[in-house]
This record gives sequence, structure tokens and C-alpha cells, in this order.
Amino acid sequence: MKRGGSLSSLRRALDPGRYWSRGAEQLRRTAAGAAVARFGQYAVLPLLAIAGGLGPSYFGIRWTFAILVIVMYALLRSRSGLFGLVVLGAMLVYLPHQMDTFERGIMFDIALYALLGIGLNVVVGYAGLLDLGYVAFFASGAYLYALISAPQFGGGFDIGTSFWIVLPMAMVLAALVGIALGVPVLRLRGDYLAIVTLGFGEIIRIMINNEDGVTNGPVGVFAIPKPHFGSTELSGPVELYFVVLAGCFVAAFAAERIRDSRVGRAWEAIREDEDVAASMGVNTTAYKLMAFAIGAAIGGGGGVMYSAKQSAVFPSDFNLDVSINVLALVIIGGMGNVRGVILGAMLLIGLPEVLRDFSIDVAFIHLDNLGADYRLVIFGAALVAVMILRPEGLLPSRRRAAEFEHADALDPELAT
Amino acid sequence: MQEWIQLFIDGITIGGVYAVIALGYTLVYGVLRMINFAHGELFMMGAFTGYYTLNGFEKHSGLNDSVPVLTIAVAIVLGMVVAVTLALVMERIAYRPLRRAPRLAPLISAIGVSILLRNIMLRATNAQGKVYPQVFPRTAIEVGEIRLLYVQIFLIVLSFVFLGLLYLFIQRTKAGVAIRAVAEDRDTASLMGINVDRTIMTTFAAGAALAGAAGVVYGMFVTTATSGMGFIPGIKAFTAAVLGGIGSVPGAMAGGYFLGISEAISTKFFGAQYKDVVAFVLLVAVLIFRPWGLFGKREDKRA
Amino acid sequence: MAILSVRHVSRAFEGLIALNDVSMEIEPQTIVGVIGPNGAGKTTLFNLLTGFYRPTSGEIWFEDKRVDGLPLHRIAAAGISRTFQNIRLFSNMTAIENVLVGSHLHLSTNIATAILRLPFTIQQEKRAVQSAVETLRFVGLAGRENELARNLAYGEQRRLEIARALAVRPRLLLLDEPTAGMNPGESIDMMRLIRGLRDDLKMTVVLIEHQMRVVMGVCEYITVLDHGEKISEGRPEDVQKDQRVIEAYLGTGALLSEGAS
Repeated sequence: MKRGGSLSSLRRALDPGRYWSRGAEQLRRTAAGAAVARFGQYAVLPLLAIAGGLGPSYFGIRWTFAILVIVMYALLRSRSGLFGLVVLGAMLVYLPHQMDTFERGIMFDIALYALLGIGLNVVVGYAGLLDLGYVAFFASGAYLYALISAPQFGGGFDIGTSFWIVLPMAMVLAALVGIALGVPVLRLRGDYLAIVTLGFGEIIRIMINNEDGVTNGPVGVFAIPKPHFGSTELSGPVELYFVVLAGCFVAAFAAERIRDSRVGRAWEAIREDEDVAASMGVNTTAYKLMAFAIGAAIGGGGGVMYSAKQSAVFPSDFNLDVSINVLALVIIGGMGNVRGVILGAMLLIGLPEVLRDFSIDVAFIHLDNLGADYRLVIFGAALVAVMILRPEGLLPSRRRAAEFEHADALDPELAT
Repeated sequence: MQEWIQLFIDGITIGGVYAVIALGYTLVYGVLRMINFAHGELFMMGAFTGYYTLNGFEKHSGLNDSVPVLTIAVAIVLGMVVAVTLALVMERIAYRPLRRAPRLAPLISAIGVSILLRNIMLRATNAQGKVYPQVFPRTAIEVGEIRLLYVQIFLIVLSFVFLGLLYLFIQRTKAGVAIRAVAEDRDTASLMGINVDRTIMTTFAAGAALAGAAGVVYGMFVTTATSGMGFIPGIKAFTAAVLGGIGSVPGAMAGGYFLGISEAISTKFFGAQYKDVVAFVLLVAVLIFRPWGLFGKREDKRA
Repeated sequence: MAILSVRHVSRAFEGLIALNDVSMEIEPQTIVGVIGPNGAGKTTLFNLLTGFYRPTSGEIWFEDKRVDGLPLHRIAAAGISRTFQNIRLFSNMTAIENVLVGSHLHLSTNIATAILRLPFTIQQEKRAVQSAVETLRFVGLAGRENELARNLAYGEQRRLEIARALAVRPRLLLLDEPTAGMNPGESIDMMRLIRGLRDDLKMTVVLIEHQMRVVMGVCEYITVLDHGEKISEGRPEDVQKDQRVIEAYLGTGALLSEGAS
């Protein structure tokens, strides 16, 4: 299928997969290359560990991080995506020990956003429901834990175990919120759904802000205790980071299992043609609500972990930007699969921090603190760019890549 | 009683603004079936253009004092020009390539544009609001407890005028007919010889011009321009468009005023902090119970 | 005892009356044709029978249960399934996945069992896949299971739609122009398939058709609609000679000459 137009050429030029496979092909032809391809994969893990260990001292943690993300991307694109995930797992477990507190905080944020991304991916990626108000579920979980355990409100529970009890409670509560939010929007289509869910997210934030009696309003909730695991108190970002990481694995595992079952098929059918799916026996209402509920439960769980780490939460923490961040990382990372979400989280949350002090000094353009100040500007531009150049995201599931390829095929002249 | 009149006045003031912005949404939705999430930012850019223009006049000449009518007119025109230019660039770069893409793509792109514009201005202004020089006299008519600023009257009247002009444009001009045709059935319109691309550009331009002008005058009214000032009004204007029936021009106008007045009245019962919630609640209610809006047609689009 | 009973059904759209007081009784395990000039209301009738529209007045009864106004998935659960005039497959899913969606009602995996993936669930899924492969073989798509639906040839897509509808295990199958766009050879294959549905699978089939050769060759009973009203019904030979039907089509020659073969 030939595609014309300058836009398509640009798109093809920017597809990293091309170079990787071409380069890999050429390498494999040499004897040395063949050996590397066969055995190299076993060496990468220790190599990466060493790089992770030494890199920070030589190149600084930030460059190491950036390089690792790129290598990761290449690995995840390969056929043995599972292998890439293992490397990723090793890296994620190993790295935090190399970092200082500030950087550990960033790792926590990445992991938390990844968790939220996995949840939103169920709603947007699997079921095709564009939700711009995901922060509502996150807030529900966060506030439930905060209000139950902070001394000024609840605190009646044995503080040590309350986290592990509240966690499933919060997930259930969030799921209920998800269903409550889902019911009114069942009949809505793409754009409308997006705006209404955005509205819901805002309504929840405003309500939390104003209902001082229940939530203590804009002042927030303080002194939220840390969870305990056995006898250790999980106080630092690193310990809680591992909790979030575990949550990510569990959520990803569950989400992918669901996707590969009858439920996931029903979601996909709904995405393709909702009415026809219904006429084949799929109860579209129930399945859409299911998607909302699951996505919300994961978001709520993340909220609990956030509360625990922060020790204090405020309504202003749960604004539209959170929803948009999560949506952006799901979309840019690649919809419909977990690898994409993780990559998205690393790129959109991690990279700006890594490039915090980065400056551009070209000709007359002088911009300081790229990561810190211009982050959202680049964000917005990146969203547009990704939609135009690679709408399926960087690491789409095979299904999504096929869908977008199909859309292209309908319009051979994309650049007019 | 007086309180009610004041609320009503405030209501139609902001309602007129919503109506003008809503027109942009409804027109673009009509021809592209897409919500231009970044439309509110055109309003914001209009306001900033107004600021920079009037500020420029203030700093470098005495024209604001001697011929305020001229400077204000220039500000409004420039606001429209900037908004239209931005809209056309937006359409060309961020939306046109995505016309056949799955529904999600143009919406995300629009969100991206919105974020981009808001944050560029945030950086440019260093997160500080820009205060307008006082060009329009800040005097008011006062009848008892009711206060009506002259600039407010200007805003109300101007909104009306623009709405009327746009209505005539849509109904009476060739370009307007083209827009209605493309909104009705794009492929047939194209077969009839209408240049669809150009018509879409015209649609964007028309909506943008209105939003930009409204931005300038609204900026004068509230005296400050901030980077986030277009976002919430944008969403509310979209609500207004849906209220009246998305795709319907008179609907958008009616919806705008309806929303403005509802908001104003709600402050009496629920307090000012829940004002924004009103729009969302109305939006949800409309979409559930009467999705085709007040003026739309009932659609049974299943099979 | 009729399996499907359409009782005085009307459907209006804002002043346009698409169907006006139409009644039909359909006997089980028969092949019934619905014909009529374009715009007669045939697809509207199908949409009413399958729940895409509600009747403005009248009732529809299927196997002693009233089905008009039921939500789409309930109608499928009741045992009615359909294909569409302009093929509506799940284009980005493979052939077998399309069929598996059809078998949705006959599986019981829910969220919990999906996560746990117990042996029972795995078994059920395996059996569903086997059944889907069988169904694909029945419609003549053996070997094409893993093709994306949109990559199939036109005739294959029509057959896939039927396979998907079959997976619902309906007792009443509605086919909307199954031979549209087919050449005579393909139409004959389709006719054979339709007869197979009645004879081997014991199904009742109602079809909308324009090709007279197919209608005459396969249908035991025909209902004729024109401008939203039933103007004739009966055995093909009788309907063929009915004056009103001939007038409705205007192309009198067409009806007489085509039907003969």
C-alpha cells in the first residue's frame, strides 16, 4: 500500500522501528553479529546493572536514566517484549538504591503514574471510553485513606494495619464512584464523553474543596500515617515505591488477563461497533460499567498509596492536570497495552525531571530550565505531534497499530 | 427585586460572552463533527492581544486618551486578526491531517493545542496577569442597588451585534450557505462544487473572529488577562452549545444566555463557589435527558 | 404454531411512515423472503425485529415472548440474530474473534474468573474456539480463521457475518441482502448455505433479497412490502403472478422473466 505526501514520508522517517530492524538485520549477517544476537540477550541484564551502577557516577544519574529509557524502548519493541519487561523490572528494582531522596521521589511519581496509566488504559485503551476525569477515582481513594486514618478524623483503627484494610476498601469505593460516574455517560459518544467526564472530575474536586465539614476543605488533611508491613514502617519514598511497583505488577497482570478473555473481546467489539456488539448478545451497559469500575478501582488504589506517601493531601492536588497527564502518557506511550503505559510514564513524568535544568542556547533562542518551566509547553506540542505523526503511540499493541494503519489506508493523501 | 435585576444583568453579560464563544464550537462541530477543545484559548489570546495593543498605545502615544474609540477599535480588530490567524494555523497543522483518523486523535490533538497555548502564554507572562490600561471609562449607571458599568453595556451590546452579524453571515451569504451545506452533508456538498477545505477554514475563521473580539472586550471588562482565562469559559461555552443543540446557531446563542443567567441565579442559592459546577451539572442533565438540546432534532441513529 | 408473530406493527419517523400496520406469521424451520422495491420498509422491518428500533405501535412476539422494545442484547439472548445490509463486521478483529464475540452469550467468563484463569475457564475457552472453527468451516471459511476481517474478500465477509450470527445459536436468523454484490456463482453457493441453515441447523431464516432468482429458488414463503405496507404474501409462484406485486415493481418483465428460472 503506497502512501504519498510529505507527511507520510516524515512519519516513516521518524519510525524508530525501521532503523532498529534494518540495523539489526545488517548486524545479524556478520558472524559476530549473529553471536551477539544469540547470546547477547543474556549479557544485557548484567551490563545494564553495571551501567546502572557505574553510570551515575560517570554520566550523572540523569543521562544514565535518559539512555536507559532509549535502550528500554528498543528492547521492548523487539519480539521478545517479555525480555524487555524483565530488564525493565530489574532496572526498576535496582535503580532507586542509587538515587538521592529527590530522585527517589521522582521514581515514586513515575511508578504511581504508571499505575494510574494501567487503570486508565482499561477504560480508554481496552473499552475505548475517553475519560478525562480519571483524577476523580484517584481522589476518592486518597481521601478515603486520609480521612480514615488521620488522627483528626478517624484514627480509631489500629494505624499499623489500616493501610492494608483501607486499600481494598478504597478500591471498592472507587469502583462504586466509577459506576456512578459511568451510568450517566453510557449513551455518550467520544467527544461528549470526554467533556462530561472532565466535568465530573472538576465537580469532585470542587466538592472536596467546599465540603469543609466532611473533607476539611482547602486546608487539606494532615498527619496521615505510614503503612506497616509486618513490623517495619514503610516510611520513605523507596519503600512505598516498592508498594506501588507491586501494585503495578498486580494491576497489569489482572488487566492483561481480563483483556485476553471474553470480557476483553466484548470491550473490543464495543469499541468497533457498539450496536452490533449488543445485537450479538453483549450487554454493552454492563461491560462499559465494568471497564469504569476496574479502571476506577486501580485509580483508587493508587490514591491510597499517594496519601500514604504524602502524609498530607489537599483538594488542589487532584486537578485536571493529573487526568490529562495520565491520559497523555497512555496515549503517547501506546494505547491498549501495559508496556506502552510504562514507557509513557517514564517519558512524560521522568524525562522532564531529568531534563529539569536543561537549557537551549541556539542562535537567538535562549531557554533555561527546559524541564521545569517549559514542561507543559513541550507536553502540549508533543501531544499534537504524536497525534499527527504516530497516533497509535510509541508502543501500541498490535491491534491498535492495525487500527491506525487502517485509518491511514482510507485516506491516501493525508498531507494536502 | 433589585438583587434579581442585578443577577439578570450579570447573567446576560457573561451569557453574551458564552454565546459568542459557543458559536465557534457549534460551527466547527457542525462541519467537522469535532469539538475544538482549544477554542477557549482563542478567546484568551484575543484578550492578550487587546492588552498588548492598548498597552502599546498607552506606553508609546497618548492615543488612548485622545481617541479611545479608535484605539479600542484597533484593539478589537487586532484581537480578531490574531485569533483568526491562530485558528487557521491550528486547523491546518493540528486538525486537517487527522480528518480521517479515529475519533480520538483530533480530540487529543485539540487538547494538546489547548495545553500548548495556555502554557506558552503562561511562560510569556511569567504567570502574572496583565492588567489593562484603563481606556474605557470605568463609570457606571447606578439605580438603587443595581450597578451597570458602561463597559459592561458595551460588552452586552457588542455580543448582540456580533451574534446578529454571524447569523446574517450564516443565513444570507454564499459562504454561510456553504458552511451549512458542509455541515449537513460533506460529501454531497463537495460534489456540488463547494470547496470543502476552504469552507472549513472559513468556519474556523468566523468562530475565531468572534471569540477574539469577545476576548478583547471581556478583557477590558474584567481588566486583567491571564493565561487560564479561556479554559473554563471555553468548557462552559461548549456546554451552552450543547444546551441549545450542538450544530444549531440559534441554539448556541440561546444556550449561552440561558447558561449565563442560570449561573448568575445559582450564586444566590448555592453561593459563588459552586458557580462552575452549575455548567457541568446542566451539561450532564442535558446529555442524559435531552441530548439534542433545546433546538436540536431528535436523532435515532442506531441502525 | 408460528415462531415469529408480527402484529400490526407500524413505525413512523417524524411524520414519515416507514411501516404501516404490517402483520406476518412465520412458521418454524422455514425460509421466508421479504421483498419489495427500494424504500419499501424491508430493512426497517428487520431493525424492528432485532431491536434497533421500537415500533410506534403494534407488537412482535417470538416463541411466546414479547420482544419488541427489548434491549438489543436481550433479543439476541431470546434467540434472534442477524446480518446487515452493509456488512458490519468488527473489521480490526480476526475472523475467529468475530465469531467468538457471537458466542458471547454461551460463555460465562467474568472479571474474576478471567483473572484467575482456572482450568474450567480455559476449557470453556478451548471449546468455544473449537466451535468457532467448526462454524467457520460450515460457512466455507476454513483456514481463514486468523485473517483480519477487513482483509477478507467481499463474499468471505458476507459469510463471516453469517458465521458470527450463527455463533449466537439463534433459532431465528435474519439475513439482510445476503447476496448483494455477488455474481451468479457466489449467489448459488449462498443459496446452498441458506438451505443448509434450515436443513442441518434447524433454523428459521428470514431474508431480504433483491435477486429474484435467489428468492424464487430458496424461499418457501414470501412477503411483499411496498411503501411500508404489506401488499402480498404467499408461495413464490403465487406472489409472482400477483397483479399488485407486478405493478409495485413496475418492471413487469423483470419479475416474470427472472422468476422463471
